[in-house]
Amino acid sequence: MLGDLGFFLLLICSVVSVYGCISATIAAKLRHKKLYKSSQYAVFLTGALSLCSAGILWYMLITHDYSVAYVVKNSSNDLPLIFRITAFWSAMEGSHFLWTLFITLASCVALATYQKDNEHIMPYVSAFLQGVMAWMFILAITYSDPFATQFPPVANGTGMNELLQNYYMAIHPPMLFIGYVALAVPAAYSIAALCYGDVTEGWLRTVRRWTVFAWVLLTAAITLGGRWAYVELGWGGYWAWDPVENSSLMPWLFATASMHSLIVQDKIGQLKRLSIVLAVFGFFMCFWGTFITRSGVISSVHSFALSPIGPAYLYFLAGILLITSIIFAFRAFLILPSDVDKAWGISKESALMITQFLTISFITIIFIGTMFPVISEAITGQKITIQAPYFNSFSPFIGFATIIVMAFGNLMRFQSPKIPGGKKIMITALLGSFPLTAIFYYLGDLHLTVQTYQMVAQLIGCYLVGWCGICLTMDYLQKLKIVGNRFGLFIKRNLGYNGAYIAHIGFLIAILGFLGNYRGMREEYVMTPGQAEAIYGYQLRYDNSGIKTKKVENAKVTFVTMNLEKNGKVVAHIEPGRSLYPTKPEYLHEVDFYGNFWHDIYISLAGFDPSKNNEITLQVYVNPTVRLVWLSVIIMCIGGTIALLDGRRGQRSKDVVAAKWEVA
Amino acid sequence: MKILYIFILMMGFFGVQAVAQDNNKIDFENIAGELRCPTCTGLSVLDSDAEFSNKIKDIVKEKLKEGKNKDQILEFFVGRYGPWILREPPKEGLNLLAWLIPLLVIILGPLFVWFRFWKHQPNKVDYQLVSREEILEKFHKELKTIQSKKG
Repeated sequence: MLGDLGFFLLLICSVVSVYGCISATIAAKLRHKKLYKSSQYAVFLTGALSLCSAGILWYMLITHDYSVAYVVKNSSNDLPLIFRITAFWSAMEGSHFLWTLFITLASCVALATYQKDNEHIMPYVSAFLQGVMAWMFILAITYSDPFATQFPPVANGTGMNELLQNYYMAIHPPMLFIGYVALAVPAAYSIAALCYGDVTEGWLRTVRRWTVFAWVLLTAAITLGGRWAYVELGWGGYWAWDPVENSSLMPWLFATASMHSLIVQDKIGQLKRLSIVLAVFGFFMCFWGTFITRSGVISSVHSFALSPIGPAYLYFLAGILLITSIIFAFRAFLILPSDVDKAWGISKESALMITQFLTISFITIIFIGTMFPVISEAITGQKITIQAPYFNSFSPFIGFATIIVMAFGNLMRFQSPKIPGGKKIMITALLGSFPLTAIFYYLGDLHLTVQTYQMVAQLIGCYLVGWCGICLTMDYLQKLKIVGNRFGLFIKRNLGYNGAYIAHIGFLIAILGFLGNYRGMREEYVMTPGQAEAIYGYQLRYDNSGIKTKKVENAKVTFVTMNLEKNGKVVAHIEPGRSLYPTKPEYLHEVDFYGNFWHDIYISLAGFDPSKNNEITLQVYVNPTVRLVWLSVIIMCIGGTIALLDGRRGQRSKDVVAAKWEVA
Repeated sequence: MKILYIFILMMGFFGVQAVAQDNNKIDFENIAGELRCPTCTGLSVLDSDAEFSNKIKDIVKEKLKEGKNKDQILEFFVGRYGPWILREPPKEGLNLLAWLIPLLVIILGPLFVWFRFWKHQPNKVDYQLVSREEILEKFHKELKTIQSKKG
């Protein structure tokens, strides 16, 4: 009953957004203000209705209404309340619905809070956003219907996917989707600018806001996903370069590239068209990622046809690509070139251009690595695999090159080949980085690296990070000196630069964290109670209490207590275990780890046998500098948020007069 | 140059210090790290404890005991499961493209950008644009004439 109401609301939403898209397009063509207003109200109506519809699904999940198939598949009577709420996005139909809901809400915000400067392009923005919404709503009522009925109703659901019953997984998808939909708005503005044939200053301000916002959320969301993999999957790492992860990284990289291209556009008016292309591709990649993960195309080309949603996505993607390329091909010439004479050569804008190049190359590599098996299978019929080693053979070079360009890009100034105080900064950084590398070498236990090439890579990485960090900091101090060391004023007037400085430092710390992957250790131990093993300067003792069980929410957890001792003193109790959920016969990992700033001792329980004198098999990992990765992401997000608050970027001039409406 | 020299020296010094570990374990980890877990996404046999992966790990250990080297063992698995079992495609045939395209992008990309964009900038005259510098110059001139008239 309720389910039917929810479905009906979605049906109305799809009709209204089709209307909104058409009316906005006509309004844009005729410059008809009232028609545009009507399309704007259409968005608000869709927003309200889809919220109601989402409310219904939530209500059904919380109250165990098993008349809907989605509730049956993703909930059960013993599921705790928090996971009944997050069950909303724990399967395909629901997460598609969540995405649809967010893009609708983002469109409402975008159309309600536009700037006066942009008024003339808003009909196009509205048309683009509602076009995307219309497609998503139509998908939600056809192939991906969250309200499909369960007949006959059952008494208990089959339960949520056990792996997703984790707090990181509870907030990861919504954050990721908000990041994705925030990228849709810059894309809409880009298409609008092309259709209208002009990029205004207000355009840049709005697009920058949305892009930075998306970047912050995607950064946090991707890391939460990594954190989830780290604590839940039990293989000791956080990033496996699998297609799902890659497809969330590509939009992030596009957002990163876009932010940097917007800086050039802001300061000297160049790279307008590049900004447009990057914004559109960032948006496109969000859907591309969903396509490759949902359609099953990645596991095999042949499983693609099995799900009806795959071809639907493919048509949509092809349609978007076709329409945007046609618009770009016919309208790009209307975007005026910059009005500055002296640009490029050796200068900050060139350094930023090289950053773009590196980022786009990295995206290309990831794209090839993700899609090549599919293409190759389609051509030759033979299945191949591309996994982490492929990506790991390219990414260090891209990373190191990025660090070098980052330092020069920050030191240089626009339209000038000179680096103010360059000699001093360079010498200090080149020399000062040696002690930093040495400190890191000893504190970070770099001597435990096994292979020489890994050692070389780490030393180069540490040295470059130290060098770049010193360069950035000295540049910061130099800029601070220009305003007479008035710190408050400097921060207040340069939130963008301050945020960027913090985010860049965060990025460098992340690189240091990633370098830890070169010196990780793994051991497998078979132990009986009381036995101890030495690892990495610690003593790992299996507690005499043996194999224990406890009940956590709806799962039965079997665990052991390991005492981690250093110099005879117990530092920590680590309790790795296996959990058994009522809905699945297999044991899942409940890893546990002890971490200090420099490394994690990460233990997963690979096997246990109570009948054989409580014997257990442990996988013990020493993961250096994982904590730096989490820390760096927090720093990067803080930096991004500070940059987001900058109201002065994109305000170089406000001399653009918005076009008049033909019909008022 | 001197700094580079010091750096190389330092690297050499640290490189020598890298601890030697049990060679058998390293070989095993190298081999198991290059085989994919057939039943999971994105993981190597080494990282996974799925049943299938455990069997493969046992076979690898056995073959190492028999004295087979890395290439022989990998070849054995390719013969059994096809190149799909390797985490990187073998560098031959069509798969070569997966390696060549990134290299080409990195090498030819800058050249393309250089010739297409930096050398070929849109002509401002076509767009009837006046650059900011020219406008400034014009104003300065006018200011000077006004000042000279006043004086």
